[in-house]
Amino acid sequence: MSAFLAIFAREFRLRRILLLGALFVGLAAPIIPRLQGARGVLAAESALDAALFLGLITGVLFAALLGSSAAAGDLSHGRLGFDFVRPISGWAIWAGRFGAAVALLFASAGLVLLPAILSGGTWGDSRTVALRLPAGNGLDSLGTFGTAVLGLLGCTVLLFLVHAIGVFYASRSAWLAVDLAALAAIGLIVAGALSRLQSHWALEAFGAGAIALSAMGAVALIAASCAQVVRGRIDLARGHRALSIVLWGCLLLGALGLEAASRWVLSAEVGDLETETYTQVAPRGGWFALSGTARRLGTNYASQFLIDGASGRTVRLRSLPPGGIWGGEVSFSGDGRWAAWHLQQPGQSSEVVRLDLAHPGSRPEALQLGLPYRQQLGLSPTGRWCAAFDSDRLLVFELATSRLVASIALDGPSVYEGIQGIWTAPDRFRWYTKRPSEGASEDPRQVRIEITEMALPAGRPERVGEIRAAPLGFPWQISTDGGTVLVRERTSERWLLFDGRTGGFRAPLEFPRRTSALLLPLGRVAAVQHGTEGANARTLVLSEKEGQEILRLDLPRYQYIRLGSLATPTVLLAAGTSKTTEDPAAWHLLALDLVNRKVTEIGRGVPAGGFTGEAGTLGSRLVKTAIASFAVWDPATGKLVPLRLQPAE
Amino acid sequence: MSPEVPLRASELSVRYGRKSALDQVSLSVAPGSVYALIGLNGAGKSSLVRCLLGLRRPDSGSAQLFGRDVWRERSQVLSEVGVVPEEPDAPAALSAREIARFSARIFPRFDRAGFEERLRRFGVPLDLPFGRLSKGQKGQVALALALAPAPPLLILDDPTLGLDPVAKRSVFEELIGDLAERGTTVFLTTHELAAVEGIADRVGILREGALLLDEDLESLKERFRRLRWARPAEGIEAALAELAPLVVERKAWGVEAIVSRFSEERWADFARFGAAEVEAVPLEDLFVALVGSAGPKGVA
Repeated sequence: MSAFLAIFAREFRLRRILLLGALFVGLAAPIIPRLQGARGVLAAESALDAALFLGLITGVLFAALLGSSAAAGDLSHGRLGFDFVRPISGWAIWAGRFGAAVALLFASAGLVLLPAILSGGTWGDSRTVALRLPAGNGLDSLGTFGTAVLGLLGCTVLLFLVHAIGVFYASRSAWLAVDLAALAAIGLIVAGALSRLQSHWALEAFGAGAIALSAMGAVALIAASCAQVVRGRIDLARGHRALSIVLWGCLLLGALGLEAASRWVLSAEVGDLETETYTQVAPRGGWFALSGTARRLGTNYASQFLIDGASGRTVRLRSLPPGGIWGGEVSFSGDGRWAAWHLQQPGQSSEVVRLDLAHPGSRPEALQLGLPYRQQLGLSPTGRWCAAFDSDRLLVFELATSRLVASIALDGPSVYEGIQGIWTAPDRFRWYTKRPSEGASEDPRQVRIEITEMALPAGRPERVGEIRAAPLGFPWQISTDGGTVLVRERTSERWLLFDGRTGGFRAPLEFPRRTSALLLPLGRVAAVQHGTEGANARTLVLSEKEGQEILRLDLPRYQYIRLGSLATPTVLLAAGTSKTTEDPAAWHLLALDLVNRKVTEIGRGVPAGGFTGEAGTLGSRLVKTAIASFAVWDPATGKLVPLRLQPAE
Repeated sequence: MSPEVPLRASELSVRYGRKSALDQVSLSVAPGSVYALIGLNGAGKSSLVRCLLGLRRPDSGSAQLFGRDVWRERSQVLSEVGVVPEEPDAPAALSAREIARFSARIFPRFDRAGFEERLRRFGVPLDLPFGRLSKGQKGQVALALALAPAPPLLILDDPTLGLDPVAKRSVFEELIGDLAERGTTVFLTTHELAAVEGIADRVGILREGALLLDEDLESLKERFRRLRWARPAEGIEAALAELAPLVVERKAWGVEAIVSRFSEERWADFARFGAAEVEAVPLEDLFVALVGSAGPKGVA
């Protein structure tokens, strides 16, 4: 210990002139804002920013100076022997020399900041551009103190990096070839792993991996400098070898760890999902898309799978970016044979990928449609066409040739969720554009919905109808055949039924209390009306598309009802619970017999959701029994048959 | 410290790439003795010293100080060793006084007063930065630093290299003084053969990494002799083979030889070749005869 202290004190003393330089720089910091005209509090606050900026520059210079002189300089000039021919351990020599260098760096940083702090500067958010120049806006959240600490740590790492470079340069041994080869190999591994994470939107894992690797790099540099001094002693070539082995060994381990972690993160299975973002069931065939957050991927990102409800075959899709899944949903063709979705990498244009669901060994096929960004996709009933649209433009492609057959400007609807589109026939696309109401109405909530159709391959749009000036709220639903539009009035519990093609008003659906409603195939409406305040009582009201009530079914035991789809032509699947929970296992799965007006509890779970096909197909009977766990309801036995998933492809 | 041999090299080999710097060198230094290792530049002396100080790991063999492997236990074993390196080194910005202060924290027995007194005797300024001292003064500081902890073993790697005659003399005088006072064991590499002759007990000669000779100086002087015949009888060259000659030269005035196996018994047989002069061979001449000759390694 005394040897370490002796070396530490000697080295600190030898370079103490740096402290004077740091103090001189620090004294300049409070002056700079005043020279620029700042006064009072602003001058004091700006002084700390100026000190940080000057401190960063000084830190980089000092780190380079100390890194080159802590040991590398003496080593290359043959002066390190002075310590090694004395009874001082290699550890003490390394720790004393580098400890003094780091202490000088920290003390210098303190002296640069001290005058600004004494003159009234306070830690907080950076208020001047000065700090952002070197730090970048990404570090704003750290504040001035965090940025200062990060800068200091960066300078410390730089010190050890400069030492390593100094040893490489002084030695110039054959190990330089190993260094270059290791650098290239590790760089390739790291770049591959990080780009893999980035391309799959695993940006949290990307950030964590980059930070972990940086930390490992810093530790590797420190450990390598230690090995170089302790093992190499005064022998440059031997020291170089020790340094290289430790440095590249640690970094290689880190790189391989990152590589393994990236593969692990991106290999999330359905069973790894912690929450589900959405489930979309194909209208036919039993395939469904499932998206959710996987614990490996980070909470802001969604893993996505395509699952065959019949065989359990599972296809892993590329994960979705943060900020919701808009435009990221999987679109199914009406016949259930094709699925299409976006594949987009950060900073790159979007690509549309499709999968032939009818063939067991099919692989996703990139379509080269050249979309600039993610748009809502709508596959035509046979999968021949694909409509891609957002609020500005509708594009239609023929998928077999990737040919653009229509491009229509939509003139930017200004109302939220302003456009919906459906295929009403194999070659006919209709879209509904919500726009602010024109003319006399002073209520900005009054909107109109333009109804436009286009027949392919001609591709000419034709206005076919309009829903005029209605106080439309959210949500608005269009039946899968396009025959009915259901809209909830913004300020009441009234629902409005319109003709889906002409926009003509059909009927209101009046409810005395809060109601949720679902458009069933063929335009029928299933609504769940709340009971009196606080009571666990709900009523299912089934109406025809013309508004006539055809059924009323009491559901006295449940406070919350989630409607599913027609599992048979006469049985509607639903789920009920009295708890506020998203856990499917806490819900009672209900079979609502619309003929016999009978409610049967099947088991635990909720209808999978997102099914728009006909009654009786496998998708209509798909049930979610727990997060990422599914079953199929068998109407013949009345039981749930668990779906066994295969490992994701 | 244990009564072990203060310094021992056992079959020590060092290679730099394909080049062999030391080849199976074995030697030892007895307590209280002075061992002088001599050799041409590049013979491997500094490599041997680096191994003995634990600065370099031998490729094979071992170097021990006081019975302990110096590579493994360098910092412990060097507390008993004073070192004067080939190139006197110390932090250039520190004065001799500051260096002494530092050394005092490293060596518990460091005699700062004695160190300063010694430098005053040398005429070395105590407060001038080491980097501004002359080469001779640096050497004197290095010697004073090595002697100040009163170590039982001194290792000096060509301590007079590049020094002026006055400085060289002061180095050897200090050495002799320390030896006389404390009986320190000394391992010394040097080119100052004349000076060594006055203090060394044992001599080793390195040539191209191999130890050509390792012998007590007294025994060396006994068996190495220079012989001169003014008018030798015929057959003298053939007869000299018995005395293992290193050099046999026929000159205008007669024949001169340096032999390596001189003994009084054998010499009696040479009376038949006529009167001859027999004298001891100075170490320098012996070194030139041994190292300068193109004979095979291990000739001695």
